[in-house]
Amino acid sequence: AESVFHSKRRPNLMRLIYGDRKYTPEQIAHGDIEEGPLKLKSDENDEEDSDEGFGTGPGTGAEDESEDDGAFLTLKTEESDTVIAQTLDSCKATLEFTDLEQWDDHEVKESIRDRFITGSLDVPGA
Amino acid sequence: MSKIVKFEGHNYFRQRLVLATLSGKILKIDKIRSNDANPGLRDFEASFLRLLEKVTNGATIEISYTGTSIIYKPGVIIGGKVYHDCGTSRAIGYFLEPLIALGPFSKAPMNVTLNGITNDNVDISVDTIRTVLLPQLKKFGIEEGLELDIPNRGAPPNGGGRVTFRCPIVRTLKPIQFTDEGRIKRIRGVAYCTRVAPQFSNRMVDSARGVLDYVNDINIAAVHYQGDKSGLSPGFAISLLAKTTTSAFYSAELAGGAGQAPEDIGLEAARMLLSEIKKGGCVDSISQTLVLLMMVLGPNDVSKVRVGELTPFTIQYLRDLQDFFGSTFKITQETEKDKTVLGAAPDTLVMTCVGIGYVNTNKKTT
Repeated sequence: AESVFHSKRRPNLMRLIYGDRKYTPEQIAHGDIEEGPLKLKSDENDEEDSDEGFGTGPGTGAEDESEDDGAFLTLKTEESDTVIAQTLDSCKATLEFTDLEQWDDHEVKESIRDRFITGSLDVPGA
Repeated sequence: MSKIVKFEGHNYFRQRLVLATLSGKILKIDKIRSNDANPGLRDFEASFLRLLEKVTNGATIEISYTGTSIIYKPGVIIGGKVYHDCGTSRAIGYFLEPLIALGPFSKAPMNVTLNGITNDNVDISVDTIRTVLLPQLKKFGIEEGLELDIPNRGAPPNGGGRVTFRCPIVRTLKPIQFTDEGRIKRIRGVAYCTRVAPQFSNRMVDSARGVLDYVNDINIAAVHYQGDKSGLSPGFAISLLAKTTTSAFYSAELAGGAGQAPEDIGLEAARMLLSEIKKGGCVDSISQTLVLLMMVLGPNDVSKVRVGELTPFTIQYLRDLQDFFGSTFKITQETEKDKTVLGAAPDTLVMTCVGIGYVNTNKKTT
């Protein structure tokens, strides 16, 4: 029941992408979406400008933002990281490979076994 | 829709120029690093503009005095034999990727020779372009004579590699229906090294194979480039791809630098491939944008493709596609119960769109 609830709550991607475009592509991809009325919108604009200014030194950008309240800080620092990725203009640069060590784990490795022709043909969980 | 499309900032520079060229719309980009200590276009962006000028005819590019804004009026894509030195600030992939999107709609078949860095960790490598991106075009009916030769390798920082890209021309594309991702039947790859011990390639291959022990059909070529084929800097890299029973591809690649062990590069690349496989879909992250563009340019028919999660780059691409062509994709999130393929990744998206019926008027019907 919980999973059904969450799947319905999942934000509509089409609206996020084609709607009023108030989120950056990075925010959408990382699921960094806050529901409800957004003060983000105006803040975000200011911030993008300032980040552009710091194009080569995102560290200073993050410092400025640390004066804001803590809840906001995480989102902002993350964004200044992604701004660097954007400046590279490459479809590879926006790919993120985190947690590659997980593949050391036998169970994790087995979890994609069925994606190969050598895997079992039974539907998992059926 | 208006004839002029305006953007701000230097991001997504190449794709906007490509989309402007294909749609024939005038592109205006303002505020290119206007607040930067070093404002305006970078050398590689200017270099890309020069390349674009070489493959088109009648295009005008106006760059403001400070270099912070440009107006691009696209011309006709003429193609033909072109030579371009890509410099060393960006790899050949940066320049080649947009050419793949333009090539099929050229007046004469493209035969482009590019000089520069063949593999690095910023742009997609020429190996992945050859083994993954070009085969994607085949699904749209672009087949005969689509080639990428890599005679010389060039590693960063000095480059010195050389590739030749040949692309046939088509009048119209075919729509695709590609939602069955199938199961992975084989793994292929290329590991190369230049100006290091020849054993480096084999060491990368061995460690990658150790992780990818799911199927027996693994063939990773280990190549050592020698003499004048080896470029100007030492380097080594590995590019991997997994192919499914329905010809879907998943790819990953990694280049090594000074002080890195080839075993680590092979291992990491193999793990990256597993991460791509886990995402699922019929199109991997690197080819998403190309496939979506070709779907939009297809005939007035429905094209459907299944992808894993969208990358930020792709999301912006979708927005730009809407700005230039007015096309939007219907994005359906598939849940567990809609799943048709056994063992498929749990969260995939089905992207559906109707093509705009793009016709390459330069190619005569015979």
